[in-house]
Amino acid sequence: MLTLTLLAGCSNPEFVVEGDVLARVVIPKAAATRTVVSLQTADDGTSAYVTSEKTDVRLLGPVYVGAFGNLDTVSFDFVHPAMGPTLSGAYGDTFPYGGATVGRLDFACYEAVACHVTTGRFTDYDALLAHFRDHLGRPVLDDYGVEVTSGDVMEQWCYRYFEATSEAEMSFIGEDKLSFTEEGDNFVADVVLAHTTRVDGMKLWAFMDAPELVSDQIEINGSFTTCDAGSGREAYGYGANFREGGSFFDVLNAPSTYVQYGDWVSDDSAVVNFDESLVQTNDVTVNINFSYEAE
Amino acid sequence: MLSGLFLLLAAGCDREGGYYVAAPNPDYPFLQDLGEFRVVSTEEQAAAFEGDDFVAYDPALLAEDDLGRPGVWYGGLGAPDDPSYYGGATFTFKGTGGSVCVVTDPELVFWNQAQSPAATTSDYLYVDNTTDDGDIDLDVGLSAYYTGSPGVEMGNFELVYTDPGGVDHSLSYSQCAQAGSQTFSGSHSGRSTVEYCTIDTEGLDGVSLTGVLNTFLLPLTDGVVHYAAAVFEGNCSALVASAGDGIDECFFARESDGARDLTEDETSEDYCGDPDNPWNAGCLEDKFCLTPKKLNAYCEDHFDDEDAPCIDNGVHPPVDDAEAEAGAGP
Repeated sequence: MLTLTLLAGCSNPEFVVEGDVLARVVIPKAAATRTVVSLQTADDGTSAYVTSEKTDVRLLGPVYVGAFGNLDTVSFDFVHPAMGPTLSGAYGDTFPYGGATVGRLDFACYEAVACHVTTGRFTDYDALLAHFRDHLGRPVLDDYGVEVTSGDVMEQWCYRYFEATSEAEMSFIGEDKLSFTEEGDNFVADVVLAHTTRVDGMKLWAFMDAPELVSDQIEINGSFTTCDAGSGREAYGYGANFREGGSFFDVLNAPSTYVQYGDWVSDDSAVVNFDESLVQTNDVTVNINFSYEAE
Repeated sequence: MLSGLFLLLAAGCDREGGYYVAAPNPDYPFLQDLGEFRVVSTEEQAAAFEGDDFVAYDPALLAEDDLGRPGVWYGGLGAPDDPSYYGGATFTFKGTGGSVCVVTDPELVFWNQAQSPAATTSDYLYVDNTTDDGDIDLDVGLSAYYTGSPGVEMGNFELVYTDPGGVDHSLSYSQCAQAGSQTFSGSHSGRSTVEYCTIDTEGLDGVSLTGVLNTFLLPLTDGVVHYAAAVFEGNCSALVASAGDGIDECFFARESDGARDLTEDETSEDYCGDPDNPWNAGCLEDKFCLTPKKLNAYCEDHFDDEDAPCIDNGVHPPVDDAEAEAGAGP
């Protein structure tokens, strides 16, 4: 009798419904191809903004991936997670089973870049500084309003700000922390949706919050709809008093609030299957292949 | 040794907590369906104001309309025979197509010295008698979503939504969002304190909504929580702006037992200020609602009266009136 009990216990250990869901995110290089703005100084000392088209993984904002009971292909101009009853009058209540990001919003030491930096996009400090200068047209300024031109200077400032001692502690830079790899015309990344409610036939949905990038309003370049400037750690310092910023908490619960023109959204093809023991049985690819543009 | 332990355990059994359970009162139901309320129009509201004071017990507001619907309802809820049952009252009202404000206020007033540490020696020198306070929790939603049986069994607006994946989600269809001190929605205020919420009835003109008054606490003194409740046309913020001190415990006056039977003389300044006159709820409410409050003086005069909700905390006067009004200590 005891043996039977033990055997039964092994066949379905703990009856845990939640678990990791694995998927691959594919986003076309077109999503990282933008008309960038660069501030260039001529020999005579005059400066001007110059635009050009570039493809660069640094132009990908945070990618939000969620698991849902189903997707809604009717209510919006893009595929959207199915919603529950909307009592408040606002679209939302998608009841996600779980979620994850491919690159998340992070704070990169200077107030000037709060809410403007995504993890998994920059190899080092210089790559980050170059992105702001050569893609967004707004060089990184330190807390005294002086342009930061050297990665070494930024490194020292970051060490001081975070009381850190190594690059490994900086989640927004690092060759080994890059999210995406190139595959043909796409950037691809593996993602784990941890502690997700596993339901056979559930669907994955994702969108990329593209950074603002315009040539006539440089000051908004690099900002993200999903970043809440009023959240995050509060920084106090000599002459500094600001919030580091962070993602809004309901991005997957009310995605239509955050998906804006210029963002890229997945289709409805990513279905996840599980066997009776809730072991994932298929490889899942989330194709973020729809460019949401104004008509 | 063993017998000593037995004695210790036996001593632990001499308190069964019955004192904290209110006894049923045959004159008051523990469950009641109040029928339909009319929505008190903005014109009726304006007519019921005397300056900043909203006179909720104005006969015109209490009167039923042609369909038998009261504007403001004053009532009382008692205890069930079996304390494991939830008690309370329900009422319905029709959506107007715009915003309405649903308000309820259980008796009488409650003050907490800890809430006003800077002024404990002025406004609230005397401890509140908590055994005479009641508490009612308000909820409102579409009648179609109400899970209770009015007058038979209390319910709520909690239903299960099954998503397209077949996963059940417990979901509140309540439309009464009350934010707490930490701005969390779904909060309720404490004993004796008014509760209210704005309900948007856009697209629900003529549709029935249900107001739920859940009995959360009954006064131990008489086992009955008296209360007032009403539905007002317009947003609560407009009502707050109209009332001098907002919608507070003083918005629905005279909700305690017998308080509306008091004559004007029995709640006059002269009457209430005379220590020889017995305590009454009308006087206490008025003294509590005054700014600056005259509660201390009233309690000072009546704390020997066992019915008065003021308890001598041993630090009462001498307090200079001027100091008291300024919030200074004794």
